Amino acid sequence: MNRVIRLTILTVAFVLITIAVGWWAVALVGVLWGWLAATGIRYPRVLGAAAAGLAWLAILTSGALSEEGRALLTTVSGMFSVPGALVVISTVGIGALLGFLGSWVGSWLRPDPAPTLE
Amino acid sequence: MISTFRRLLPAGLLAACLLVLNQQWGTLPAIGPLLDPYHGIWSVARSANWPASGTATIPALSDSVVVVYDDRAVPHIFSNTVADAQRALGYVVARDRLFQLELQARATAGRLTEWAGAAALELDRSSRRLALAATADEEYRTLVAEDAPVVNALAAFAEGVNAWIDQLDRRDYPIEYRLLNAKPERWRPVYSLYLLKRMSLTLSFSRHDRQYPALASLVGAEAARALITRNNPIQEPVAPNGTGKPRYDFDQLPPPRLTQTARSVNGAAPSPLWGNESMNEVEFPVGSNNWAVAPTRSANGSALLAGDPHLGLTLPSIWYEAHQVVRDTLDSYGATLIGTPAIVVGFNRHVAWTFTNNSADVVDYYRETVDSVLTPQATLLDGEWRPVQQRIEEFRDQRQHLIHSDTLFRSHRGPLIRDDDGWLSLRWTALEPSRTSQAILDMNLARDIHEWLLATEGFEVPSQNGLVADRDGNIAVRSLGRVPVRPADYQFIWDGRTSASDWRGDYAVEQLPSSINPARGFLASANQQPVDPLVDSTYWGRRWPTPWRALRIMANLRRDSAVTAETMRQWQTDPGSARADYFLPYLLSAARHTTGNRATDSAAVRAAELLREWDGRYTKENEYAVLFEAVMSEIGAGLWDELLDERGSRIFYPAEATVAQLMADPSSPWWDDRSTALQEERDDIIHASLVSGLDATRDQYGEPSGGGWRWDRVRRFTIPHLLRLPGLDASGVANQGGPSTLSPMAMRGTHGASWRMVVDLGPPIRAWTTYPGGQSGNPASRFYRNRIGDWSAGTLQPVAIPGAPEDIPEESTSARLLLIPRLANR
Repeated sequence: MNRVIRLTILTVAFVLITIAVGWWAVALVGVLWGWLAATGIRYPRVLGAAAAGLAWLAILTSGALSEEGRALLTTVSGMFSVPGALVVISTVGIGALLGFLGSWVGSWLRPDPAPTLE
Repeated sequence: MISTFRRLLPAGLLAACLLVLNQQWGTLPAIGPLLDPYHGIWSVARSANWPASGTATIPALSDSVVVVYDDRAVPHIFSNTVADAQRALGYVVARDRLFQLELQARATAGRLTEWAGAAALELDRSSRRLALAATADEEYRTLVAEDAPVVNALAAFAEGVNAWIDQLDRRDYPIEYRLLNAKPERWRPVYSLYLLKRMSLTLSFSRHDRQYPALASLVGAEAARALITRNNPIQEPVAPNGTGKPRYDFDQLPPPRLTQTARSVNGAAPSPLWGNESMNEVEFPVGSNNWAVAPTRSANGSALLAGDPHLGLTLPSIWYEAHQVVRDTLDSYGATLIGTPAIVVGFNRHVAWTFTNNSADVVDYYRETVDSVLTPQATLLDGEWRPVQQRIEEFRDQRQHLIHSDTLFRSHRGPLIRDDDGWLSLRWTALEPSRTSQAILDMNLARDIHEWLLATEGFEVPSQNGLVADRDGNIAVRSLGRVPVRPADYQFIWDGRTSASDWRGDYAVEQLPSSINPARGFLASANQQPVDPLVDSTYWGRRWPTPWRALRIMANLRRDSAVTAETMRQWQTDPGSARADYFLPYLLSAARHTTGNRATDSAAVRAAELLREWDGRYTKENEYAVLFEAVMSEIGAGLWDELLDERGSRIFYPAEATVAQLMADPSSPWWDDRSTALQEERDDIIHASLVSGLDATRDQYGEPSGGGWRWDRVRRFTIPHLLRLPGLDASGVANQGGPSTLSPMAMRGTHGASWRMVVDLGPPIRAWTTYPGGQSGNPASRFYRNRIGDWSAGTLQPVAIPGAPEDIPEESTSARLLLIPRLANR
């Protein structure tokens, strides 16, 4: 399967699980992805991290494009006394970290994991 | 081994990551749920503004209610019954201000530790010591037993609040709940009474009595009594005294008797025993004003009323603007205190009303004789032991773990606390059940000033100057609130051993200071002494704020016999200052005084030259008010050196009227600087203050020509968020006004004009309002801070007063909400 399609599907899965369940469920999808990808897909952890990060960025962007979203970003960055970009990066980073760690765990759950190439 | 480790490593890292992200660190929220892009803090933006139209359920409604939000986000509630209007008000207030509602209730109940842990313990302890919530609970039980109509109103309001809470999804929680990792608690009807008790704490609590012993030990009893003035030496009372001008009763201030050693007592320093600082404690930052003119004094021949109550400023504001319409019954518009089921300051089609704080003396302290110094079981009264009630108060954290407990005592008079000299009990009108909540409901239904005055007879705490005008052209003002009849004029600490010290009842309503349709055609109040003691020598209180603002308002009203609503609006931020007008000539005159030191003499002359450039107005662009304030501050420090305790802390701040009094007595021993061998007089102190004030201003703001002295650069305020969270506040707010102008503001921006309103009673009735903040409690909403610009500029917005939903044009509507008893087909 084309890597872009894989990334897109995985991103959509992360978006849906985040909306349906919550932040921590990203790790679950990551584990599932890691388990499936361990059979030979290249860079499963990187792909997992990228898709999770993209998923959270997409959710954020859908809200942040509005006037209210921008106001909130200003508020939150003021609250933590950090630049707004850092708050966004932190949020996306947490998603990516969970996607990465989940994928890593999933890949090691395979009884006979195929060697990965990254 | 290595293989096992490598297998476990990622699982361990993931588990650790999840744990860390889900862990709350002290009062900091867990990062994972907080930054969840859909359910976390970011979802606050999605609920920032209400959909253009919607339908919601309040199960208890008897019929459908239409709510139309105008373009200022003010909800206009149209219902068929008053109870439904109250339910709808509860719903819309909760929708916009849910966190604030609960915070206020918890703060009064002393339950903030359940949110913030030990960080809130001292706040909670002081709240519980005062037992305001316990008093409100008792008041509620009394109202229920009496089957008072207000009980139904409180219940209806609670049904509305709870209808909103019940349909809330977690991701709709206000941002503060996410930061505290908390969820909303259901609203109990009694919480509305908690709010009124809290207002009483803000407005009518006083520690002056407890300050007296420390003050007397420093300067002698006679001087101490004179400093805690019974009557303000400047008289411009609320009830007209018939003179048509202010009066200055400048007797000689008794000299300080500095024979005793200064000592510190709890009563002198801000007390940790009785709760937070009340607005009665400080003179400058507060400044509620109101005035009304009869048709004979207005340009258009109708009665006009203006009001701007000053309170602590926060985001969101303590006020919420709303309009309740019930055909042929209720049509009331104005500001409701968050948690109250009716309009508190506002108008209906017949009358308009507003309040200023009255500062009547409604607090007394009694020195009790107890049977046990450590844990009193009884107090002595008329030779017999009276039992003391004990109550254990427990403070719990968010997980309901016990973090502290206090044993509290209560005598037959009220809360009993221990200070350095033994045990004191407190009697305060706010700690006794009142009918204020019923009075607030009733005044909304008044059809003329007489009905309004009748309705407010039950307004028992806090003491207020209630000002009312009606469309027939009548105007009236009256002191509202219980004022106790004491056995003697007044004492600071009463002897608790005898019932002869106790209150003998309350003054009858008709005895309270008032005025109806005075011949002069206008009325005004600005927290000053309500009645001239030469007219009525009854003891109503003491330490009345110096009437600088009243002087200014009365001067404006006397000067203008054709007042308009626009003039009234401008007066609300009038930069003129009776205080500056009074003191400035003394400052300029003292600069001519010489000390023989050429450098200081020329500095004083330079300061005076700069001050001579000033017109005494605190406009935003003026560049000399900063110097005037610095000099006044230095004068205070130089003059009141007698009031420093052994640690060098000022234990008492006399009213500025006393400084004014001393200006007229240049050789008073109070002017002497005790740290020198010389005998200083007034002009020595003012001269030195000009020099040091100029130095201090230069040090802080540079040279006067540098632009750094502009008032709106020097005085920029931050209106804080309720939780003092940066980012949720409003910073850099400028204000036209200064100490003792009509729109003063505390140095940090924590106090100011919390609501401004002008009403032309017409017909037709028209009104203009604003307040610093916005209708929404959601910081992502465009209605969170949107009014601050207008407020800062002194601008008011015209309000829509529709009689029916269709009276509001579509282009002036921001949202519509249909509230129904239950959803159809469900």
